[in-house]
Amino acid sequence: MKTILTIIVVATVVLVAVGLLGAGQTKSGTIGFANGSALPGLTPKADTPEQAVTNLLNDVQKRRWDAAYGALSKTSGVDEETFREEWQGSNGSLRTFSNLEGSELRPVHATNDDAQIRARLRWTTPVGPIEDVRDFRLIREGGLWKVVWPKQQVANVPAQVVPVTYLRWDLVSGDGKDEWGARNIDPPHVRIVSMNAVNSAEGSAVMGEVVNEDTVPAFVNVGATLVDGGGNPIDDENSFDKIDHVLLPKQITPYRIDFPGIDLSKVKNVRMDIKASLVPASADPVIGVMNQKIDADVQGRSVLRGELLNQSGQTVNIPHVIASFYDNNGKVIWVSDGYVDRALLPETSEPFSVDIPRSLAGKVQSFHVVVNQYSLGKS
Amino acid sequence: MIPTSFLTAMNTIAMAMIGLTLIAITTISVTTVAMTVSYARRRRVPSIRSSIRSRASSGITPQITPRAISRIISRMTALLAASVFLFCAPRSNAAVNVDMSVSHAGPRAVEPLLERGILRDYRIAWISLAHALEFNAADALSGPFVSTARDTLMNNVSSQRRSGLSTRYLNQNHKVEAVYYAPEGDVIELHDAADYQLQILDGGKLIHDEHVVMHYVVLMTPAADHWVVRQLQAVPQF
Amino acid sequence: MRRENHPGRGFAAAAKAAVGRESGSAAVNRCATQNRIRLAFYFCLSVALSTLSASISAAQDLRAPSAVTAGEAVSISTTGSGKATFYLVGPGVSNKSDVALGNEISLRGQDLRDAGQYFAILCSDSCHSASFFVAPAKPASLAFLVHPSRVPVAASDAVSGVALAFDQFGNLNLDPGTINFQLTAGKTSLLSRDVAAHDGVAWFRTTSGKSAGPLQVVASIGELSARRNVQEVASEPCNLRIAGQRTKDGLVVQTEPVHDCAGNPVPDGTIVSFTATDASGKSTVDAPIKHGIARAEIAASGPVVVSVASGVAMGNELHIGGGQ
Repeated sequence: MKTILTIIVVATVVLVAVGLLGAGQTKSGTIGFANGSALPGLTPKADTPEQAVTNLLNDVQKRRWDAAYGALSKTSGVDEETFREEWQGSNGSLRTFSNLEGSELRPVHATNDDAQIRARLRWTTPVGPIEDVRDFRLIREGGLWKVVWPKQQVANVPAQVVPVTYLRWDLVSGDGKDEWGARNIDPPHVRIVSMNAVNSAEGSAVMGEVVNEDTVPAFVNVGATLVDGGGNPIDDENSFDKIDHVLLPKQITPYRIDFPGIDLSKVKNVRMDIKASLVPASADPVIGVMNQKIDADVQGRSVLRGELLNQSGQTVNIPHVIASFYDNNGKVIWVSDGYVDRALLPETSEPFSVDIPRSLAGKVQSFHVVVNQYSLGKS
Repeated sequence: MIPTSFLTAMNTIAMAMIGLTLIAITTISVTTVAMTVSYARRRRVPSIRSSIRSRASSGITPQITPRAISRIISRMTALLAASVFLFCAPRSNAAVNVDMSVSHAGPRAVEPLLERGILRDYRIAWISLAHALEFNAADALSGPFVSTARDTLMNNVSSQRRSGLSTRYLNQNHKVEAVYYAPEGDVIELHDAADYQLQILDGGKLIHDEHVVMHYVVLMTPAADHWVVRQLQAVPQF
Repeated sequence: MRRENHPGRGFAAAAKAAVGRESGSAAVNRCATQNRIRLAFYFCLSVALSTLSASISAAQDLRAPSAVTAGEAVSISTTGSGKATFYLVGPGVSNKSDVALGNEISLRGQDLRDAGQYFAILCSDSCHSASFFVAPAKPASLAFLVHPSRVPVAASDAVSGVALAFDQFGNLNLDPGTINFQLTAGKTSLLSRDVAAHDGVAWFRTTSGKSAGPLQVVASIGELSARRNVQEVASEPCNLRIAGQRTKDGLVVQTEPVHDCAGNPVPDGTIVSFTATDASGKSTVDAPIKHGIARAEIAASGPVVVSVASGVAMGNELHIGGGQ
């Protein structure tokens, strides 16, 4: 009995050790690394470019910044704090609320001394999962592969005083008297100026644009109900974050309402519902959308890219870009959105890009971009 | 929401169940008495056995004992109680019929969707009113009533609680006509010719039971996603 | 024994038959005597009960008031003697009290504040009731609903108001008479109209004024009045025109003062969208109007075309050459 027990214990220890040491030593060309596959002190040697990137991402995921920084090439022009900020985010940006969940690696090219690996990084964020594609350049140093981390060009904004002359609207709820009709302020007058329903990759989508026709800001939400041939509702959804909810007077926003898993052929009618209410708002910050153009990204997909320029004196923590795309008849054929994971500092710009579905890329004739923004400490 | 037709059907079924159960209980009670007498006699007077045998041949099982019969009766009583509950529980819901006409409303026309919404909300208001005043439950009033209408009914409930009274509004029929609908749709005035059985109870004692015909002037205003009763005022006539 | 079926006779017939079966002729005589005594007793009892019942009915008679106004104290007269329980059930009230029959029952004004139907119930051995209506008191306040709270100038049938008169207890006065509506913009009277209330409601609808600014709307009946404000605002921007110049980093464009077609300045905060298209792509800036004009800085190089729009209103296009 004692012998059997000893055998079992020894076998278990051996198997665990083999499992741990074996982890991460895969030598295949294209890999996906498993989270938590290595223990501290058991990081595999970076004897391939893929292994080097895998090690780096593992350390980043576990927030072992010293180890991650140690995996960088000496030729990298970045200090540890900046490197850390790039992964952790700063200024209350979306990245500061995000976690690296996983990644997929693909070699782009490799020689004996240098290589390029394309990583598809999956982040979990408060606004949902976000994918980011990043190219890593690697060189061989002393028999090991090291990541070359380029120095980021940080905008050098001179010290200055930015005069604040923006407009703001406050709401006064009035006194507590419940006199019927005395405290009546109409909700803002908003209008759906266009609507289009299309089949999408995940089901169907209803999209278009809304204008605030009033002279006060409006908090807007658009809902849609799909109705079948018998007049029965199939599903109802709302625009959630695919809209700029706070509309200043005469401002136009795109909206998109997704109906996952519903084929448009079953839909006879779409009932639209727009709700608007009064909201305190500010005309600041003004964010310019510069150099917008449709381009192909590194993966060959069509994207609309450009730069957001914060023309005000306050930091925009989480910029959100919503773009509507029109065909040659001026009809909205798609609405895309994307979050910028870096904060938009005063008087600086940040690049952005939003996807265009492959099937629609050829039909896009023009586009319109609005910027929604979330700033900490502001509602 | 439970449809009226369903509730009416439930009431009918409950009534039928009550009726059948009562008949069954009566029949079984009579049989029990007879059987008990026979059972007692059978134990003391052997000659009676023959008569029991002859009865057995005409359909009565000789194995039925008074204990078994009393068990059946208790089950039937439970069924009766269930039926009575079934009948009573949804009564305040089922007995509110509302017919509505909007053809004379103006200056703004009442759209069919709005008409359905107002009819639904007005009916709910009366169901809530009936429930609140029968069970002195003020909570039922908060949703469908606002302002003066709610305050008045709240006063009714608290006043009833103090004096130990309750009021039942049974078999309500409302013939509602929209007479005014504001240009901006922020108020609608209804005239309701209602009839119902009004029962006023002091504790468990019925002190007033009358079939009344009432005329109500009603003001309803839109809330977030439904219409609420702002004014509910009885008048001698329209 | 032959059984006969006599509808309606049931128990009496059976009892008779039972009696007949039980007795002989002596028994029959004895029973007849007993029945006579029993009949006499029942007769006397019923006469006594009827008399008592009649007297009770008379005692519990109550007379409800014919015309009652909300908040006014009234009394209900009763007849008879002895004690009884009095109930007053109506809108907002469900009272119970002990009363002495023959006296008047006083109803306090505070118990009759709500207009509607009241039931007065008097119970001793049995209950008797009477009902009466309470009418609203004279108008003490006006509910005045005016829409919209903001209206573009010169909009047809855009301003409307509804007035309802209520007494001091919140009862709707169904016949308040004529209500006067007045609309004033600054010192200019835009409307003065007397409207007779139907079913308690008086209303008006009219076109908004021609200049931006506050519009006073007043409803009055007798000495009562209710005042509301409507903000008349500029209509859609009209003749939106821009001018621009190149700077070191791009170009600066700004609008001329933005007005509607009637010449009213468009409110500050209104968004004006500038779009510049050059070789590197399109740049847009949504800028709010400040002090009547909207201004934007756009990063652009080389020849550029700038367009402007506010809501659905379009403005002119500006062509700026690369050398300028």
